[in-house]
Amino acid sequence: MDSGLVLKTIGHLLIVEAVFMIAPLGVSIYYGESDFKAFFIAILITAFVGTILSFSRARKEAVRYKEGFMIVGLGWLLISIFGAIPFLLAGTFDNFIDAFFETVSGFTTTGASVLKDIESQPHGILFWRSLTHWLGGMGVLVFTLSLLPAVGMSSLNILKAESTGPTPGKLVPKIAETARILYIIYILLTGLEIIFLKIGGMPLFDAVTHTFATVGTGGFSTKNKSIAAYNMPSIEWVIMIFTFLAGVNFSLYYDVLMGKFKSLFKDREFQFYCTVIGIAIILITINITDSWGNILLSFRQAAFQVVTIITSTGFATLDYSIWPAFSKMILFILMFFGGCAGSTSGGIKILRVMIVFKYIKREFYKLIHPNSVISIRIGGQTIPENVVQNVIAFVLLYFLIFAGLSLILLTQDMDLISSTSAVVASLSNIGPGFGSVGPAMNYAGLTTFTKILLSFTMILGRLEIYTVLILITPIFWKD
Amino acid sequence: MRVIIIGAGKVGYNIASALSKEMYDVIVIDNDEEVLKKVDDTLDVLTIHSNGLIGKSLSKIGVNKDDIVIAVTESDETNILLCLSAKHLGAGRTIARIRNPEYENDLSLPKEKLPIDFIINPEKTTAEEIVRLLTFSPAGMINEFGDGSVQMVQLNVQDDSPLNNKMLKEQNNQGKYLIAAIIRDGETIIPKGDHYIKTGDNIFVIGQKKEIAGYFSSIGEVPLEIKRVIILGGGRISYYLAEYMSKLGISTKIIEKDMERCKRLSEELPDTLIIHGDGTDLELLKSEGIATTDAFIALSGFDEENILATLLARQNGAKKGIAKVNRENYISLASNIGVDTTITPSLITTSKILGFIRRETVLSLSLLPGGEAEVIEFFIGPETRAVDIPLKELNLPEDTIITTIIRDNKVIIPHGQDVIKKYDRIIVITKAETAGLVREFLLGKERIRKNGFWTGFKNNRSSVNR
Repeated sequence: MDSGLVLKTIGHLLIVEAVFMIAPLGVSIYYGESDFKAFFIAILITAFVGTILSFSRARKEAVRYKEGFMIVGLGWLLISIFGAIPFLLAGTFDNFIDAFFETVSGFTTTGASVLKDIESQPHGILFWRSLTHWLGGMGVLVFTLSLLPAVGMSSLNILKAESTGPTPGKLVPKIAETARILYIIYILLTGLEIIFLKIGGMPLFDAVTHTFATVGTGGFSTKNKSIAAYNMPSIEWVIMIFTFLAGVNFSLYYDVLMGKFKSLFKDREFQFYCTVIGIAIILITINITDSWGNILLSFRQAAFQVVTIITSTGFATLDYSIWPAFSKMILFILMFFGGCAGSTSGGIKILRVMIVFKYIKREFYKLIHPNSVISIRIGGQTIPENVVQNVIAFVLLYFLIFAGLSLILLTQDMDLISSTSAVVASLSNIGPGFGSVGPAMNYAGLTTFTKILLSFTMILGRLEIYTVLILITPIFWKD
Repeated sequence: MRVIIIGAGKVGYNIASALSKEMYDVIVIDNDEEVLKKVDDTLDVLTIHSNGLIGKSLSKIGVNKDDIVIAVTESDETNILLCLSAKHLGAGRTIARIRNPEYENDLSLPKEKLPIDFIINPEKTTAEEIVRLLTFSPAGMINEFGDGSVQMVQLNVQDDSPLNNKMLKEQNNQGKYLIAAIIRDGETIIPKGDHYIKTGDNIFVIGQKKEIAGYFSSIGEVPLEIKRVIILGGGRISYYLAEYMSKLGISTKIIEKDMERCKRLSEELPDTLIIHGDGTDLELLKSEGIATTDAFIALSGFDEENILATLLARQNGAKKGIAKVNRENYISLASNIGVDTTITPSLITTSKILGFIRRETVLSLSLLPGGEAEVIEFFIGPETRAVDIPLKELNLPEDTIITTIIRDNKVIIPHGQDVIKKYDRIIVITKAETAGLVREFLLGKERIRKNGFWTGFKNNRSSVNR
């Protein structure tokens, strides 16, 4: 492994993080609050370490698998550690574990918070908290790639390890350009949502922070009661629509921007995504209308929760813990789904779910026609057999990790519903679960061990398991 | 500008590697996922797995008039067909590798109707290269620039060579020739004056043609007169080579294992003696007069066989040995263990294709073995920034030397105070990764694509799906 290359890239990554910290610094200076010192020091530390690392000598080689995994795995750990510095210095948290949990939750776009009183925090801290969502959503390394003049070096393995979905690839031949295209689309979405939220009646600061949390499918709010604090249907609709959009494969937007409108609606994964959301909304609406009586209100609340859960955002307009068990179970199932591959959402991803369904269908078919050879196709595109196997293993691993971690959490003084939902909400990067980690509660009451464990679960989920797990297997370290 | 390469074999890979380091957007299409994976891992290019439907992939990418399509798949027919359909889709230029000589002769359409702008026949080109090598025997590789007035010649420094442990400065200072590159242990060095030459180095001397011959004889490398040649293997390169040899009146023997192939060769090559047998069989080599052979050329399909047979022949009296080595990793190895010259068809093919792609600005181009460095001949147009500035103040990219200036048919090996003038032709040696920079630097006027934030949207009117 070329450790020089790994350190160099991580150095660049930290410098990028330091540059992004200037934004909350500006915010805190604008509001004249005392947390600007915290950001100032954090920027200095992060930039200093980043600069030192970036001087590492890399052998002139491409980023191969090992380096790719190492850069992404170690990089995410380090940006979370350095990202926690402002929280510690500003006194938001009195211990490192809480600050680390909050930062990881931000970067992985989970949105699970250990902050008890959000509204009392200075603006700079709240802004940084939301900005981590925005950065983590599309990927900080992808952003770094778009800036690096990677002459002749293929950094595709970094893009692959950080992007979502089973087969991430390039949109255009040059990797830096691909990364830039993704970010342009991301910035366009962000800009649009800020404008719409402002029109919808939100103050600018809230509009910006909530937009970051929406397009990154994070879920941090600057209000204690999340979106419910505004109690405005217009805002709920805007956030709902943009959450939905953030769960769509970004390369489809590229096609649309290049004038190929049809490819959006022709895309099988997009169709499936819409279908799942549609069915879930209808079922929950019918189920909760009985107790609410108002079908329009029920529809809006059902739609908001379904979209926010399936895309792994985790905003709340109400405490869905009070819903009937049937509706809660639907949400629980949706927590595993996640959005489309190539979006900013977490979870298993729609494309993988589709591949698993097709695989099961094929197994059935083979019972009747034992000698048949069938390739799995999604929308006319053959999915290579190794990808199919990778996906099956991924889904299996997902459930194994879910079961294993839930079991561990049960030893930490949690009930069954809370522990299982806390694990899936972390693994799928959603945020709120059920029970003691439901939307009306938060993660502050958990034990330190649980917080550490869930922090790593979030990174595990955001980097789609393999990248992190491979780093702790002995095979990786053998030459 | 996009370059679409179909077929990710050795040539496809090398072209993609060279062009992706420059301003080109490179797309590589292949049927084989394994080879594409290697491309993906090492090069910054877009790979498309075509599922056996290359034509469909082409139309999906949306070829337009700025695009260059290079068809280098295994099959001639596919290559021709792909160029045809690429032209139909609107490709600007098409390049095809066509091996079968019959096709090349049969494509007797007028040039403007032919769907292929450049046809490369690797075997024929390789044979031509070997002929050039044989005409000047001390050389391991000869490249010509400036319409033949300038040569670059490779020499392997032996134990007994007077060049051993000499400083480059002492060798260069006559202003007539220059040691432009050294390949040492497989690594290419663009040397400065204070480098020393060591045993086993491959040095590349560039200069006026007649001066080079003089220089070589001054260091005891006297050219042989080639009269008798034995070729191992009766493949297509051997066929072309034997044809050239018979034109030059050189006595040629081809040793081939396969009886059928022997029969066919003997029909096609009346002046050549075809011998049925194993080229690594020492008795056979001896009875065919290996001791009096001037050059032994191993062109079989196996690198290992070629290298070993060449060593064997050299040990038993052949004065010069040339081995065809397909795997680039073997090149430095072979020269270390005593093979005078190796020849790699894929590198030759790659240089030819690269030269064609850049022909607007580049007069000729050749890659050094291993592909780490390029020797490029430029024409300096009127809009260049670099004119009338002494070379030493020119701030050229690292590892770059302006080796030769050709002005009014005079060859100048420049010093630091010399300047480039308009309408000069210059020959530059540089590392592959800085080749783009050097061109930009020296030509200035060239349409350099700005790598701006919006480039992805502007330059890719038609996109490719995941």
